[in-house]
Amino acid sequence: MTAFSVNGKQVNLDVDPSTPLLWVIRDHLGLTGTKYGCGMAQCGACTVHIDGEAVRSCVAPVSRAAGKAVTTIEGLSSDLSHPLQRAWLEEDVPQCGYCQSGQLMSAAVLLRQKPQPTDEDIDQAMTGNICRCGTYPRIRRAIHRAAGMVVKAGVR
Amino acid sequence: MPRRDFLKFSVAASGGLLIGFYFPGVSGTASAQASANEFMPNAFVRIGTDEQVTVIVNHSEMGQGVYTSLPMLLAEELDADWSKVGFESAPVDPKYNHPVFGMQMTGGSSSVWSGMEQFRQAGAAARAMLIAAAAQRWSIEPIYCRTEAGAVFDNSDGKLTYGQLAADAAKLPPPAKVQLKDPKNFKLIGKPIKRLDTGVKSNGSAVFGLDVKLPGMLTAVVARPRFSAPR
Repeated sequence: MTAFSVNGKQVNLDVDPSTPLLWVIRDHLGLTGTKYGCGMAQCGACTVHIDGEAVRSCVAPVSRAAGKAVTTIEGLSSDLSHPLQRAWLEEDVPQCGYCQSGQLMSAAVLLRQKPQPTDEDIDQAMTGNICRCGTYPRIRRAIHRAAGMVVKAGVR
Repeated sequence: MPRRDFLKFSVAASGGLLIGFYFPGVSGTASAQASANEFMPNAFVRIGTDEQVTVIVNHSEMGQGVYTSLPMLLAEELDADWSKVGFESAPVDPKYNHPVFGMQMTGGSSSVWSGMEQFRQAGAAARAMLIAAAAQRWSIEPIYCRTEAGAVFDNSDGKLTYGQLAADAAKLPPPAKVQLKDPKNFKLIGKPIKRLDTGVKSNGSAVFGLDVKLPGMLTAVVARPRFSAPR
């Protein structure tokens, strides 16, 4: 049995400890917002948080989450109230949308570590999240916009 | 299953998945049926008593924006309140075939031009039925009615919203012929507008091909060897 929390809810699962966390989240827990992209930690579509750190869930065995707190896109906020999600709406960021859960999860860690990131900080922190539609300029603008909201409202 | 049959079956299955690449907010068993208290004048739009206008989109959303552009075409002729317009993916049905290519498909940068007539006609037909319902309610000729932002108005201060008219309109026959707007009167078509699907693509709720679950669905994956040159 592997026990950990997902978006604040305690789970206790009978799975092979080497199962990638991604498939536990998607298939066992039914949270499909986290996407499978490359399966090799090369694209970032599967990014989730383990104890607040960005992790590529496609290569992280579920045992790595044991006793820890996992946050997925569904836990960032389901009602689009997180500053990043509000900024994503205002900048109309997604195109096809497939990579955006991972983009948002990586951006959330960046904003926590650097509440006022420069363009360079953003490019560096987001470099592992690939977007085939090429929404990078809007992602950058939206992160700056969210940073502004965080400062104004003093949230998160 | 013989290997040859399996290959044939896989090709057919992946062809089907490609066509149905992405479904919004539905878990595979899409059904564009009207429920009670809804007005569904044709295969492309549903209007609820709660004023919600749902446009049923017969093309796959893959980033090109058909979940916004095709609803715009319909909402234009319907004179809908854009803030009440949503979208839904069409189920598999010949009603949703591509008007030029004759099958349910998306491609060739053809969605907007091929949907232009289809979606505008559907919106105009719904509008005509809502006007007919309002005219009946007021006992006036439809010609004395006009529409704006999701409501029918008469010549004085009468106003009935589409939601208020939905149940009555559902009982009326669809019009044989409708007049489409003169493009100079367009309010939505040709105007920059925010996408309708940004929300579901920013909170993980958008349903992509990978996320579709069908009853009894099984998933097959290739069992790859751990080492190269396996025996």
